[in-house]
Amino acid sequence: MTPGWVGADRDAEDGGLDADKAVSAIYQQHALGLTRLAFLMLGDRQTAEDVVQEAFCGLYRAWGRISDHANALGYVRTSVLNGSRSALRSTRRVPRPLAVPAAASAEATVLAGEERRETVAALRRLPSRQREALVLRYFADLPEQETALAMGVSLGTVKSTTARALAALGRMLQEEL
Amino acid sequence: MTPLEDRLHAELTAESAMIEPASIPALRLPARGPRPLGRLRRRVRRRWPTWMTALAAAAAVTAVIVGIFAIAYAVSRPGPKPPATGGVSYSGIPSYYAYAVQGSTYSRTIHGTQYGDSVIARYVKIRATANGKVVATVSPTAPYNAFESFTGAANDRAFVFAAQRYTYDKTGNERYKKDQKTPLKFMILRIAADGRPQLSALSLPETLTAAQKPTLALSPDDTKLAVAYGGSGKIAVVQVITLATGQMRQWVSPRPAATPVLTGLGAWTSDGRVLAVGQMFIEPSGIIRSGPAQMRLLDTAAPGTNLAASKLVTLHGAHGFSSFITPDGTKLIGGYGGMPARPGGTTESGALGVYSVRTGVLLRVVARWQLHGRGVLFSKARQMVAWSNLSGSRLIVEMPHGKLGEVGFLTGDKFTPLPHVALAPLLTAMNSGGFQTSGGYVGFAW
Repeated sequence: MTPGWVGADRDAEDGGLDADKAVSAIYQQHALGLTRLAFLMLGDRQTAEDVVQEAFCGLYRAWGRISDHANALGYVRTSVLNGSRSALRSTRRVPRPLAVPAAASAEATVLAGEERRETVAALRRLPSRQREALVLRYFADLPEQETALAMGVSLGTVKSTTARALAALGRMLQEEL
Repeated sequence: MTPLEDRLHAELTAESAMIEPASIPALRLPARGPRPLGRLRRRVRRRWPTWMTALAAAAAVTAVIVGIFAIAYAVSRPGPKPPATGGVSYSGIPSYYAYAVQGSTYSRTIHGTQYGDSVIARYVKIRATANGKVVATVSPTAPYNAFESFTGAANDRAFVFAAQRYTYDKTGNERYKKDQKTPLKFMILRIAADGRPQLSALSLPETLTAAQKPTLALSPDDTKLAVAYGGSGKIAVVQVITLATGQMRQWVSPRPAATPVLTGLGAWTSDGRVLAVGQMFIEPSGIIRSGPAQMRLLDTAAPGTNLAASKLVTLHGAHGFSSFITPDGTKLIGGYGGMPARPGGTTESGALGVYSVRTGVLLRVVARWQLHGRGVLFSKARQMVAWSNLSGSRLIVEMPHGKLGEVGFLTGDKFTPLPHVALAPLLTAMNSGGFQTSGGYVGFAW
């Protein structure tokens, strides 16, 4: 390989060769969950994959600077949320509704898919912070404390944001009926 | 939990299941730089002895005089002319690569479970080879929902895509099938010098359908697109289209001939003049005939329209129909010898053969490989050339490696994996038989 065509990554080097293995191990274990989390935030599979890849590259670069490697998952989860927000901002779009063709099959119209689509569509109409709170609490099953850490807000803010989000979601679903 | 919270939990979980575990791409970490681990050394200035300074000055004057003579000699006695490259550099590495990503086109829910119909090239990603960064993601526009083929130019500035359509018929036996009649839709992605991609529609003088199984090759300077189709019981056709004007030259075989196959970057010489066209023989039963590989070398600047009049090179010992011509036009590189998978067998092997274009003689065999044991993916192990420098001394190849494969540089017999090539989706695409229908590989392009 020709030296010089890849960019030197000092932080990763300082963090030692273990960064490769450690970050890869976290990826193996959590990439699926984090991609699903980003997908729920963005509604777009391709962007979700990219956001997760970027988050793990960021973790790898910062490995030498992270004091508590046990919290690496929390770090990358926050990166995924930040990346999702940036992706939404940069494209200036509302997350896409469920990727199902307009003319659904006969089975699809009578079964649970319709109901799910309504809930997910309603979720995606919520403001970004409220959506984050609901996805972290009810998809990732995070306790309030960890949700606060991931969102970078206080515990009280998580509680109030979640309550407001649930109320708004309830109203939207009621209107659908 | 309240009923709303219960419902939210269940439905978010179900929605997220659209991302299947098998679809998660491999992690591509940024590479560590060439600097070795440890402290930086401070550069110490050396002082020369006084007597050496005078000696060095005298040596410098002598060197200048000798240099002047050498230049004068070189100018008056021209050596062998280097091959024209049209401003394309083949000395570094290609800046970008494209690969197909598998994905669902149609989904349906039956008794609460969602099913998806997956295609191999739902969309295409273009990444920077040096750091794996995504440059662009290209999706077909409705009603198209997959890609049939794509190809890249050696100048690192353009990719051409052919989009196709899969249809879904819930009443038929074959619910999900390729639309063979709708014309393929072509698009071109140009990448500016600052790395910004721009996608635009590309209209070709003739319509092409998926049924024709066309293969493509974009010229090194991205000004011309070569298209090949037909053969195997029909007339074989090769077209070269000038993209700026839509002007087309066409070569046809006078009678039914082998199916002509273009292998993207490996089809053009660096001067954009000679086109290497693989010959695939398909029996009426649908089986591809085995035998020594044959390549047609079509001089696209010479007059004439008869494809059969172009030079035919037989590569004894080589197999397949996708041999790669080096950009200087002197060598053809393709799969050589080896032991194909047999039912019940436990060993598979192969290598690359480097042949002289002028004589068809085997020059050397490189990159031998062998897989043992029942755990290997027999009959799907694949070795192929994806890129070459001007002379073929440095290649980018896919090497069979366990159940997947590995993409990297090949210099002589030394293989060095490329760290930022998205292996998992790339090889998922490449290992799938569906992509061979077009004659070439749709898995990726440089």
